[in-house]
Amino acid sequence: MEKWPETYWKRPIPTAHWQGVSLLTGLIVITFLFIWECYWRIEGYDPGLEESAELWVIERAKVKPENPDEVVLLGSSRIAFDIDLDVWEQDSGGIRPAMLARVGTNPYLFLKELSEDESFKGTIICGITPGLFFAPDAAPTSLDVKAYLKHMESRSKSAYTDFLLSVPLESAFASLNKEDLSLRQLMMRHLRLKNREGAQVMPPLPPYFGRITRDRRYHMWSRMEHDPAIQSYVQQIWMPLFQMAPPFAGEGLDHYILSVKEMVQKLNSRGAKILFLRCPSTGELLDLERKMHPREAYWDRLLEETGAPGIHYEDIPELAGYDCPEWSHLSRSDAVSFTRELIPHVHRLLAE
Amino acid sequence: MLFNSLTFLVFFAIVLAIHHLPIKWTFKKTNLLLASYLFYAAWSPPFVFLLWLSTIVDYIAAARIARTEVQWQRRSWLVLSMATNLGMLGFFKYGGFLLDNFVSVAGAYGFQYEPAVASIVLPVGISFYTFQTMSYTIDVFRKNSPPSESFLDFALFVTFFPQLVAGPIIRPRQLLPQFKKEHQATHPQLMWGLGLMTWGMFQKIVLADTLLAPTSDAVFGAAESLVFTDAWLGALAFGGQIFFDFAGYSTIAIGTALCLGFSVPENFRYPYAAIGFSDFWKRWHISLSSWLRDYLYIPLGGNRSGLVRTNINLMLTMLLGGLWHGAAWTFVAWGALHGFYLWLEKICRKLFEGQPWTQRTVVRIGLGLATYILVTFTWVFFRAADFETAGRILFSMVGLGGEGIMVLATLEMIITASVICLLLVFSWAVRDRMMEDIIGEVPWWLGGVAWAGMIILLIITQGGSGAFIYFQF
Repeated sequence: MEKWPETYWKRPIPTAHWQGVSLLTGLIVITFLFIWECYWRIEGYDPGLEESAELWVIERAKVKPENPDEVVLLGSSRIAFDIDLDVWEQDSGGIRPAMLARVGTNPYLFLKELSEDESFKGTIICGITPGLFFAPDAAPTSLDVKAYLKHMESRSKSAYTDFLLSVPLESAFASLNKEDLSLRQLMMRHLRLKNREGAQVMPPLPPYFGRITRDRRYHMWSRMEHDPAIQSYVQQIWMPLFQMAPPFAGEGLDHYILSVKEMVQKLNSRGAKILFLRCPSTGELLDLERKMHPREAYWDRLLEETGAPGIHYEDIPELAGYDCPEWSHLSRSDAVSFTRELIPHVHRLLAE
Repeated sequence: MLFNSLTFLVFFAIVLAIHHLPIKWTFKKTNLLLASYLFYAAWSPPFVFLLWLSTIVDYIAAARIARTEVQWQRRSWLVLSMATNLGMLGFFKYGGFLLDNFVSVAGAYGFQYEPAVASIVLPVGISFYTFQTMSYTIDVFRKNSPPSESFLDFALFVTFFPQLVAGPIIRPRQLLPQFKKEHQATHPQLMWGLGLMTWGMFQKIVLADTLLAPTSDAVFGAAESLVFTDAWLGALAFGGQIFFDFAGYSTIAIGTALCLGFSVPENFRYPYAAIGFSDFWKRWHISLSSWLRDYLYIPLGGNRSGLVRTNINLMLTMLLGGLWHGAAWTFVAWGALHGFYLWLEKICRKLFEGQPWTQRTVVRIGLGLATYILVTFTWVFFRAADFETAGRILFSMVGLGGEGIMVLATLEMIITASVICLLLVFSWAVRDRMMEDIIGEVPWWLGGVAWAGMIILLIITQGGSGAFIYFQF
């Protein structure tokens, strides 16, 4: 029998002045990171957590099964910015809602997941942003939702440790901001080139205008609340973004609303409740939304055919007077009063 | 756990620190073994049982094979080893595929059959470690290698975390002897290992995930035919993405092992500078192609039984190589296309080999580009979710897509074209050299600047959550 060889192939090592290389590398990296961090702090960025599938799954896991007191908030960015969780907790007998809304997405698949979870017996407040909720399932915005649900089903054990390790880093460095200061986002923002006529390309997303807390509450960035230049910049981003997909209509819309109705019935049949909520929008964006998704053809139809209660901010005088700095979301202080004024109406409708 | 994750950074720092403690070699190996199980269990703890099963069966089988000269007994132990490994692979990877095909064929003959829906999760890296352990038993059976004298060494050979889930698929003779003697990285080894890890992460996170993936995702996700430019850029972007993704993983694996003092062989050697397809397969996923050559193509008869038989063996090897990558007919088509290319190359070699004009630089560059373009066509089958998508993109690439849509932003087009051009020029410029030789010639300060640049871009990219493509295989 042959023996194991005493010698074997050994990887060659480049001849280099390794101490010099490592010292120079360390020096450049540390100097750059210091300058980079200072620069973005001067620009107004603060440290904060990143939106992530793991953060969503952790929040989803907080929804206790078989508990009728559970409140879950679904929807897009508007409900995430406009509902203040602390106020809700104070004014609703200590019940803190689970924030499961995801910015820029259609909550349809999240709603489906909750409706199919037989152990869920609580209440869903589902925010409706017409341009997203009445968008076909194939819209790019649904990809994040699918990724989150997939993550919930098959997350690895190390996903949680990754999250735990990322929290202190993200809480310490303002420049760690994937949605806004990553290489890709910086390239997209600063290397703006004209696209070909007719190219089906997603318009750029707005820059930093909100931060997320550990329980997924979004706050609007203070500069966004006060700086007209930034407000105007973001307003002009919303317009093409909300015109990306043609309005959902015809048989597709019929089937879609029917499927939402089935979800509502499924929830109601086991004692769970759902309420749809249309949060404020203003300016030219509101005009566009009225044109693309007329209330009677979408919102009214949704409530009528599903039989679920709903609150449209325009129907309640105290909710109708808010101004959105960039036409789509409430400022941090307005979110507090909006939530306070909204809650009695929510309780009233759910009690009926 | 993923290499490109914070958990791995902490995990590796702890493993490295323990490995450098003044403790016995056996304890250091035990540390590496336990760390490897932890590394694997971070995905799904129950699948560690599969690793144990493979380890125990192959260790016993190889020992029994070596102990006897009775042929039927040797064969029986070999069959047991093969059946265990291929059985695991077959059940987890090909079970659903076989069932789906059975249902389709039955349906075609009028037999309607609806099987119970079984949700089988594919254990990460099963294709890699089953091939690695099978090579051990086969080598012992062929008397090319003795059986391992130590169960600990063998368990570590099967489980060694740097290359456990996506290779390189290491042969027993390359790794087992290294476990016999104490290994600890010298300072230059540690630094070069860290440098390779950085380069691998840079390839994966910056080049593959950040610069190329958006283009290929947009093109392969399009529901309609595309214009010529977008279809080509999508296919080229995927060719670059999968190279940087997989070569990046292999480079991190090599660097990680080197930081611990172990030498792991190269898995890629500038494949896009290949001239011809046999050259391509000597440069792309070298550990798999050499495995298929030694344990499949040669046992089938290789090129020793005439032209027809050689061509059949070649095609069979490529078809199974395709199927190894994934349980779908698109992967079989990918393998078939490569098999066909290799046939074509054989014919061309017969006709033109030895003629002086074939050695002219311009001809070599032309042949290299032709190889690259033909390989790019194969990537369409590899990436597309189904034949319909593959067909749509291929038709668009040859200008038969009709009124195609445009899905790429100008910026994406420029980024993709730039990265691919740089990849080709760099590959061609260094096609016959080792990375170590090139780095050795660079002034030390330039090495420091380049290394710092990669780390800075890695940090700014803020990537790290994207799984490596080859994990699914």
